Amino acid sequence: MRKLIDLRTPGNAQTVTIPHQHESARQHVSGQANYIDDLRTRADCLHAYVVKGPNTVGTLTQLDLAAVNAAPGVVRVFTGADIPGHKDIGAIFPGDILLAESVIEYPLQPVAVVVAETHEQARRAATLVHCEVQSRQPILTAEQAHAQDYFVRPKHEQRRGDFSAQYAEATHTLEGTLNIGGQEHFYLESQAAMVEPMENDCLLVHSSTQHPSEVQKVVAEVLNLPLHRITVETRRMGGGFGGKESQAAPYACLAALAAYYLKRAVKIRLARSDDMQLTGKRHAFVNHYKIGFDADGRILASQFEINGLCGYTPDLSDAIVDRAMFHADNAYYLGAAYVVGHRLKTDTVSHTAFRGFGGPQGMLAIEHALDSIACRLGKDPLDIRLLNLYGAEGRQDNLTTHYGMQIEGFWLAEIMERLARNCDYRHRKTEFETFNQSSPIIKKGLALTPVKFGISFTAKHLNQAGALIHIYTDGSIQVNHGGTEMGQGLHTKIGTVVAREFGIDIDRILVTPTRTDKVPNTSPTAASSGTDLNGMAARNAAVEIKQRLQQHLAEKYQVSADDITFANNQVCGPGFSLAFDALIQEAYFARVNLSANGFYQTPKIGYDHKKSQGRPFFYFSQGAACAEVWVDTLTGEYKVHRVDILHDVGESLNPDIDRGQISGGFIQGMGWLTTEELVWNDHGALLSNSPMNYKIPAISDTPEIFNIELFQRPNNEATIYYSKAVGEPPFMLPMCVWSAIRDAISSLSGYRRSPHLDTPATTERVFMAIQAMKQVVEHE
Amino acid sequence: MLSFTLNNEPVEVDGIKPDTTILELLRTKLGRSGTKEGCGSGDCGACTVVLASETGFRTINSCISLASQLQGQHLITVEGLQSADGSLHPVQQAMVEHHGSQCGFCTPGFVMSLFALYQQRLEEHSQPITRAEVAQALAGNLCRCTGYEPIIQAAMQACNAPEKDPQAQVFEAPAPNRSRAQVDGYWQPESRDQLRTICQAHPEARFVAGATDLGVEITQRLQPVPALIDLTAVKELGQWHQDAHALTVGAAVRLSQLHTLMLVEWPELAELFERLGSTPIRHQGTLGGNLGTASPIGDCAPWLMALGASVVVSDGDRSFSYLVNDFFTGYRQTRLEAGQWIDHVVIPRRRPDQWFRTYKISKRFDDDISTVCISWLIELDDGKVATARCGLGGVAATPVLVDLSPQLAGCIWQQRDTLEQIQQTWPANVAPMSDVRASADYRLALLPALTERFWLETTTAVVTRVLNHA
Repeated sequence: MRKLIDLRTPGNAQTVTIPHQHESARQHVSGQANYIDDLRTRADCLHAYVVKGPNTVGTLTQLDLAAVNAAPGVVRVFTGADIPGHKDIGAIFPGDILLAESVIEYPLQPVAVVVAETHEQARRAATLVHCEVQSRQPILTAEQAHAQDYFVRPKHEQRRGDFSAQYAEATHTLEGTLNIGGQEHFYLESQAAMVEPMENDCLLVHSSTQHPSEVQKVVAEVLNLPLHRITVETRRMGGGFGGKESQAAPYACLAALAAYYLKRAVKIRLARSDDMQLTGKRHAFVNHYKIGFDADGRILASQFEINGLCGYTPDLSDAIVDRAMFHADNAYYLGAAYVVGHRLKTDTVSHTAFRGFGGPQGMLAIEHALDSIACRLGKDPLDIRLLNLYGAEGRQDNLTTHYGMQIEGFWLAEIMERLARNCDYRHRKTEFETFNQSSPIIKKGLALTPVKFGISFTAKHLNQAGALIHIYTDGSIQVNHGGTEMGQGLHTKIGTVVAREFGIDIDRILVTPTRTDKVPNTSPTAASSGTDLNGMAARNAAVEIKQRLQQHLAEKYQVSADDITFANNQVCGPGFSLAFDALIQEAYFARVNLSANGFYQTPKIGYDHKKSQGRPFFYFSQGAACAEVWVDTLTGEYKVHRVDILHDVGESLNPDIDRGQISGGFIQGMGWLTTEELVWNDHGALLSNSPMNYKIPAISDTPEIFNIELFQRPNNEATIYYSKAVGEPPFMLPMCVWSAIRDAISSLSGYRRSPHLDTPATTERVFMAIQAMKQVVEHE
Repeated sequence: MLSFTLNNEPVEVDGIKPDTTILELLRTKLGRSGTKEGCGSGDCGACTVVLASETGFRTINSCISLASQLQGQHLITVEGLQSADGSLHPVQQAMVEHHGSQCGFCTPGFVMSLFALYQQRLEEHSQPITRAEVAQALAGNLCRCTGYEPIIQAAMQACNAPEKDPQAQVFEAPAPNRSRAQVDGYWQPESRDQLRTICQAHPEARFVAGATDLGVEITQRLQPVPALIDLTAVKELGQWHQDAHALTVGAAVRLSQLHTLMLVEWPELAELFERLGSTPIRHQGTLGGNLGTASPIGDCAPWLMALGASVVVSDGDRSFSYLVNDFFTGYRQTRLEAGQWIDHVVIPRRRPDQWFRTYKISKRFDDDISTVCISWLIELDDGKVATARCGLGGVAATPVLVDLSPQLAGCIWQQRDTLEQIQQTWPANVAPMSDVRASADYRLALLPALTERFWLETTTAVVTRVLNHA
């Protein structure tokens, strides 16, 4: 008989406590966590770099790579002509050309890839390209795109009731236009991949990607190889935020192309400024709205024309503009509603997924409007918000969205009222009004805004996941699943789920790097769905093995399988108890299968795009935040002094990780609305192309008082242990910061007028809004 | 051959070029991949490492610092913090416990900044640490995941009155090492005389001190810099002294040292220094470098001009003194000629009845380039204006001085008329540009606004600031 490994634990029962720390925390703080560029490379590893085209759009009349080829260390240069398979790597719709050959569709669009002995050599060589281009005037604005019917996809419309009739009858109306800026992802690890050729025309691709299966697919297509020859591995990303959902693929493809031809390992990583210039961003939007409301401030009719500036290809923009439309209501009943979403083509990089995926841009207009309604009627904006919430008193059918989804488990009124109490909103609001009367320069603003965010991929087929569990004969467990780790703590949560199912210590469990040869055909880790989908899949795999073990024990001890429990590193049944690892060894000898895969598909969902009706989301995550902002009316400078958050995470799987998602999402969202300004020139080239001139929040931007409380009520839908998704929803909480800035400016008019303030609300925009407000007040 | 100490171990490396960065050395030659490249321009702090010296532990950005300058130094990286038994350093442990890392890419940089803060607190061991002190130490480290709050909590716990742990890793400053770096194309003179000789022998060589500007040129413009003269070891350039009339500061004095020096008589500069680059940048950057790059928005020129400071250049034989406002001749151009270096700066001492303020407007409070930087000095004689000088950055191709002394002489400062008189003069005196940071309109509008702030702060009790610094 073959001897198995000695077991490490005595058979005594011990309580299982599940620590909350990130599974990689020790490696992070000691510099031992590896990212792509840290991978020990084979001695013959080469380095690739993109060769950028001209900084304009037009027709490429000459591409001269002689100097690139002749540069020190250069091994070879590849162009589009060298691609054996697909030249177009569009994720869903065509258009994303890996290497431009004749048409330059956005400034600096890559035209070649150079491979050299070192990264520095490749990067230097890439600068030696010479291009001749017949340039044309680019289309960059919403007005230009509309005027020329320049779209990447057809529009989509949603309707409820008769907007025009209700609007015409409303006591009050208001309309406005909001220009909403985009956002650079600024993940700290720039785009990177390393590809190793294996025997039999196989490639192992290490990619910093949120979507290994997509990378596998496009690499296979580009090289004209079947999918089974390509394996993609992702241990972790140094940040993703949506920027590595579709955008990691081109760099993996370029390295793969070189590795395929040269039969050597090839690494690629982008320098920061190139990453900023070559990758797509959060979409800028231009949203027009019209709202009709009654004397109490209740919305009766709403119209939103939502314009997403998509860049040169569709990429994921169809779903992004859809999500903006789904969230035009944020948390409010819109009355008779008409929402139309346009996908405008612009001659820039193709904009892409970014935390919130269009949702944030969809919500801003209604929040802007509610502040205006409050000023118009002389009421507190919080009261106007509460009055218009779904489920508020005094209206029929007010739990149905403008796309016909019934809202269940909606507790935002409770969340907002509790938050208002906890942070003393009413008292402070009055106090600030008094303060502002006697303070000529500094004005304090306060605002409390809610978020309701739909959870599920709106593309139904993506709502599936797989997981794979192996139990080895010492009782240690490997878990693999389709999700990727980008810092959000997904692996930590999945490990916890499996530990909880088996009732064992978490250190028995290792969540291994995401690999397409372990769990195939996976969805991107996106849409806040990582834990919901993969957690359930992992649980299903664990349950499968548990059932086999129970079955084995039930037969052995002649008891009912239902009476056998897994807890405290023990397995117990009527009249017996044994250590988990002892059971595993026993099961092995009894020839029980100790490996299983699990699968999960989200139930209940489905949206009919033709009818614009249905249930795109399994459930809604909810939350609210209150911000206190001090504004300097001389200069436009402001400081976010205090923030209070109450956020719904369901029955939290890991309160510390959830709190980290909330604080991180909040500050990132605040950056989008405040200091992060993308500036483009007339040729569509990005001027804010470096952290020197694109400013994400730094440490002093974190409010001095920053209270985060979890609203822990079990999800009304049967998600993994009734938890809720937390990746994206907190991103929209800082709408309260933007609203509080406007509240402070509004004080200049005695709160009778609400200032217009596009985003990002840089000090300059705030200054201009103050000047405009002062002028209006002067003329009154 | 370059020899230095890395995490308590002696290291010798060959094949260093004058423009090899410390980050490149660590990652590609020494296989220490714990230190990360986030931006390559000294803006994100993922590459932060620490230099140990007799004067303490200072953080620097390894991505724009030069390996050739490491000779004889003790460099500490994230790999060096754990004890021999594998236990984490207290700052690492606190980061784990407080969930200070998410994606982890910025984390080694944060850990090193926290380590330096911890060491500093170990020496001082005084008051409870404040949030503001933590923010100062970490202002050069960007994190995109956590929203900073967990990191602040980790710092507050780990760095608040730390006790010496006998088990902890001890880092000693290296014994003074007289051997020179043997790097082709790199010279490190130790006296003004040596500097003169080397300058004459190598006219093609460029000067380097903190490399906070040159380093960016190397990593962003990818231009090789084959010959470098390092000014940081020139004894005379690293010194300062004060007499009854002036504070004289050597050109190679670091901005962090200048910070301490200036606050003695000009405490109003505290906010500006805290917002001038970041802590690691101020640890590297020098006064001479700040003036020598001749940036239109370099944050030292405006207040030096307002204070009436002079810059003295030298070729080792002769010296020439220019008022700072006279030193700049055009966009990124100065009066410095071939063979000359910036030697020192002479700053007049404070006199009674002077009102002084320096304001910086930028998109972000921490580590940002000024949209506009304005520095006002008013000297009053019995309530009447005797001198009125205003130094400005960000409003023209060079920093400019607007001297309103003749126009305002005799005006009563307290009177609002005086303020209005100044505000009307602005359009005539400046011609700002629109760029990636701000529009010309905003820059122009900021000048009367900031002048009004100055007037309000010096004549009334009106609250004018949203910052806690002021």
